[in-house]
Amino acid sequence: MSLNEVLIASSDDSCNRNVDSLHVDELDAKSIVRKFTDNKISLERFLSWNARQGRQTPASGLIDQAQKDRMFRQAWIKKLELVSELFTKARVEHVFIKLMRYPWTLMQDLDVLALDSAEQLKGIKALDRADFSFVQFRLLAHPLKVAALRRADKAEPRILVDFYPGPMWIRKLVCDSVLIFARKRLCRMSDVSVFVPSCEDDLYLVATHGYNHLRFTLADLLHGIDLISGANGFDWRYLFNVAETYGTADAVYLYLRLLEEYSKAFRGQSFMNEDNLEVYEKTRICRTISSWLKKECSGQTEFPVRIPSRIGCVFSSFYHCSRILGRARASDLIYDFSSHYLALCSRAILGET
Amino acid sequence: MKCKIGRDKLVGLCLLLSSGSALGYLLYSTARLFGVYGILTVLSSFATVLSCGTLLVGLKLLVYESERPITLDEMEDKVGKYAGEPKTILSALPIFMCGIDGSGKTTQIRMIARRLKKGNWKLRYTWLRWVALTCYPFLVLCRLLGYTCWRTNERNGAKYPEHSFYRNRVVAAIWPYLFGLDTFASHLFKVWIPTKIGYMGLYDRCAIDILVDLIVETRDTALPEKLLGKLLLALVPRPSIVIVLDIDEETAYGRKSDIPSIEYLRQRRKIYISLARILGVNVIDGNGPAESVHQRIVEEILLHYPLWYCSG
Repeated sequence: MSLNEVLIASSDDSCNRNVDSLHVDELDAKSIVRKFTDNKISLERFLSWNARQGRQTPASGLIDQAQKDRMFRQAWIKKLELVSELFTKARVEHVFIKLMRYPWTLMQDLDVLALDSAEQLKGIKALDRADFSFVQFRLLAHPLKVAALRRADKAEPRILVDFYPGPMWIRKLVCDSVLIFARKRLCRMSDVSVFVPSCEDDLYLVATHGYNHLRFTLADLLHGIDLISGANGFDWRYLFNVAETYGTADAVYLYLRLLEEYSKAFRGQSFMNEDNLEVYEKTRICRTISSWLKKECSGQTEFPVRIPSRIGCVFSSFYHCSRILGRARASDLIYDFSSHYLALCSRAILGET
Repeated sequence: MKCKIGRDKLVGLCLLLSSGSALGYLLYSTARLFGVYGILTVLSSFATVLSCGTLLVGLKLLVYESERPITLDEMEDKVGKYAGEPKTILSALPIFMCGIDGSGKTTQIRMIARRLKKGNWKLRYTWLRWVALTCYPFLVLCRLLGYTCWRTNERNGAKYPEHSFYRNRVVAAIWPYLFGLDTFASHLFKVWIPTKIGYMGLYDRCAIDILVDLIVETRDTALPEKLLGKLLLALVPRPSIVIVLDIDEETAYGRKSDIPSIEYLRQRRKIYISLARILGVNVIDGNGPAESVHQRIVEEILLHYPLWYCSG
């Protein structure tokens, strides 16, 4: 039994594949922790699955880590509640982006998108009053990108409140704030009511973000499946039009194909019409992705799914920049292009190339 | 945070050393290749630029910390500085409305324009149908040969032109190409250039209407599959929104007084529907009050496009 199967069987309640748990004990505790962390899934899931299988108590290292994960999730939810309350009181026009609907996701920070710079400043002031300090990132980051950390939380896990000046990953422009705000909705996350983008925009942002980081975690995929199956009439045409308009059809196509492959392989069902994918295949980069998936990922998808640099970085940089050429300012276009390669550098730094 | 800075500095040093040596080597190769191997020089220069970029990144990582604290005052200054930044990168999409005479195209285009005016679009309304420049001499000849004539509508005495090019095979073969040439020229100035310079074109009719006219006038139903037909359809820029308004011939006939006959509409309507099916164009039922047709257009088509949400 592979580590991948353990991860899926313990994370996805709807997984219908029978997993033989006989050799779980032979798996190294460290590699289990790494696998779950890499996929942004709390180790609590492994423990509960292990208990359901009637297996012996796992190594103490795993129990400790699961406890840490639980505390982190709780701290994260508390932070979400606090920030949402502060923004609502200060009447800040905001949405929380990349909020994973899969409840066992380990989210590193809270990502906030404000309508414009004035709303962002309102939000920053609200956080300042609540004893937050602010940091900025130097390398290629937008001048208005700022992260907030509560001074009082020194003993607690480090959860940053990340302010995005717009829907952009590093400096790759993937959408317009006004579009996301026109379709925002109220959603309940662990008993906290928060503003989030519409299902289509939410899926779009997660897809483009994962693609920009050249990897999709299992949590990303479970979030996407939940969004599509939970939406009342998911608007596929809108999703395609947004992807085509902003030159991100490659990211959305790859994400949808992975969702479809996963769903077929582990849930025994297909939840999207083939036509919804075929429209993307008119683009050359999507056809390249399709042939890569056929060659490399047929049947055996290893999580997190790593996107080859030539597709997610080189081809994507040319495709995306050519689509927004003439619409974005020249300087933004240069930053946008460089962002692809910075993402590649960060992947190299993390030793993932 | 301290650990992160340490790692950044280490990475910066590595990047600096590796890109420095790569840069030296590439400069040497570029100098050797310059003027000898064109494509290799370009590739080598591109790699040199990339190395320079990496060098700068490495230098920046080495000198500065990747994160730096910022105060509220500094942030306020920055917000003031960047407040006037362009808000959207969303591009305008041309909207083409086509269909038989009396289907309500102009009314619907105006209703769409009213909503889009609330956004920051540079709107441009254009009527796109009859444009004849180079084909006028040919039309004169056809008039003399009796392939075109003016007829009088029995209903109201209004005059309308009738083209029966199909009566002569040579004329039927030449006419689409001549008319097509004029259409290309007019589309260049009325559609392509305005779209490229950022105008949101609202077009009353499009190349589909021209193709329908040509099919009727020459009775060549295979025209869409021919090279000329394909070239004409390629005049509709991609991406764009094309809407075919479909309406009963009787209703359309009742709406306008300059329509020759119901048969004239029936013939065209059939072709519109079959073309829309082939091209995968949206067909909207144009029967009923203008407001409900507009509602249908919005719900079935425009709501699926991001530009609609950025229009107030």
